Amino acid sequence: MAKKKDDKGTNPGLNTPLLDELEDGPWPSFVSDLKQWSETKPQVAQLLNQLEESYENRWNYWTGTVLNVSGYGGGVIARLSEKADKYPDLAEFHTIRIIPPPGFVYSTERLRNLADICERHGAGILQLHGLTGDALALGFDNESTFAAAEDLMANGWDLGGSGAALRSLQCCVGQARCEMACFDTMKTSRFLTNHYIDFLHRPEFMYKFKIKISGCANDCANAMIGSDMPIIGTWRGPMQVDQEKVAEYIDEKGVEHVIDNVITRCPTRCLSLKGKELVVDDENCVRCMHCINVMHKALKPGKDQGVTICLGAKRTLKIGDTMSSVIVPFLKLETDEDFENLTDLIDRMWEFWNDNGMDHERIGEFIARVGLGTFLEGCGIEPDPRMVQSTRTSPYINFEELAPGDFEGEREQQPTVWNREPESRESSS
Amino acid sequence: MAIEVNGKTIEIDEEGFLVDREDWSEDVSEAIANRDGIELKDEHMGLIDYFRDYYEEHQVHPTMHVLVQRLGGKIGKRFHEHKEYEKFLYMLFPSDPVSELCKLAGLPKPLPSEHDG
Repeated sequence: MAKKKDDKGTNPGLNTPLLDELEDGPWPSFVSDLKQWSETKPQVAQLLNQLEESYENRWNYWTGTVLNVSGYGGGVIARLSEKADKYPDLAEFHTIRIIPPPGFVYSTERLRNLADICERHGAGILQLHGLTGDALALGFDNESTFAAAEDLMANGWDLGGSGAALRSLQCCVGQARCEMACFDTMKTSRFLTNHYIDFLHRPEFMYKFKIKISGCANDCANAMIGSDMPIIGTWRGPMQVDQEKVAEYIDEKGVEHVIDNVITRCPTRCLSLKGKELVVDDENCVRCMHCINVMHKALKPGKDQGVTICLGAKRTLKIGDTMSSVIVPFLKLETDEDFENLTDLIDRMWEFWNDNGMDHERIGEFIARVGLGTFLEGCGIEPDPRMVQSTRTSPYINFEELAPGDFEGEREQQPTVWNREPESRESSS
Repeated sequence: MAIEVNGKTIEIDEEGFLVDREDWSEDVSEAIANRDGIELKDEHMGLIDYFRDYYEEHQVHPTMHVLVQRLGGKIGKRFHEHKEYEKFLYMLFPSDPVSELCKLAGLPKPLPSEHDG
């Protein structure tokens, strides 16, 4: 596709040579879109001009303030422009966060309804689903924020979280559309949103708390890196293997293909081929999903399915970026009682974090400060050897000392490692 | 902008925060509350006093976290039940309890959180 500079940009008020560069290339461009839209909404032209000025002077002209819809402590990100005298329509240019449906599945009718409301009251720019998980509507001034909020609520939408609150939940499509999903992500997302709706509306924590829900370890909701509490689908026991389909797959692709792409790519080396039969060492399987993704007809997750709950991913603030680590290795999530257990667990973790956390401290940073042992004790969770930052790279124990007696003949007679004196330990080595 | 209290003119900004915090008195509180459509009762006055004491001690206004944690304390067995106290605060000050209480207690306007994104 050729440059769009000439056929667009008919708005005479626009002077954006630096932004025009972003219209190059075959990709869709927000600059082209906004230029077109600026013919309908004059504030969008000012928005582009201000952005151009930002690019030129390498300076951000937005400042924040506090604005809340009555009864809500969050949901509105209030933004003011420092260049209000030059761009009067940007003097107040607030964002409203809207709770999306689980899995981001909209009917076109609802999406049109949402678009209409945003166009009626604001600049008519929708930003659908960044890493916050909310649907963001941009460009409201003080009065129209309230009018838009009223209108949204009358149409069955609700404002989402901002500030030190539980943020809008995000989940993958789960069992609704995907054969890999190990539990009903959309139901979980909806249940938790309804159960903790007060925490979404009214910030009260030390800092934000995000829950994201993925149906399996493929993690389509980016939970492991992008949320304080990822809930990831998994299974226990053996995975389902259809040996006939495995043989078909080998006939179709060849043995080399299977070895190169499945067997040797297993991170824990728990797969092997015996003729045309796939042998799985299930005890060593870490449920990474790779083999299932490649041979999706032959392999399936196991039958006893549930979730793993992790804790602690965040971007840099008090400590550097972290990924989540396991806090509950396996939890069934099917009956009402299971969901009750889940909320009970979340309640206990929130309580301990809120009683002892410091200002602007995410739960991952809190655990890093007080230590996982203290945290587990405070929440009443049993410690488990699976609670490690990354599996199989940091053994805290000397394997030979804990190995069964026949591993190295004489060790049978020695006392177990935890009640042995330090001296005898030295002398034995 | 300004309001008349007991024949004295008190300067306020357009949202109702005092320009000079030395001007504060209970009557001024009442006048600002009237302007915002809130009728001050014992519960309101108690919270306003708490805000003034806390500010004097810490040089910073209490956050919602402090209010719910210290004043609400433990309500019910489960953690999420303590939200009842926050509901009570929103019943007293429907717009935004912390901001409204800062206004009525003659404290500076709360700053936005730097990391609300």
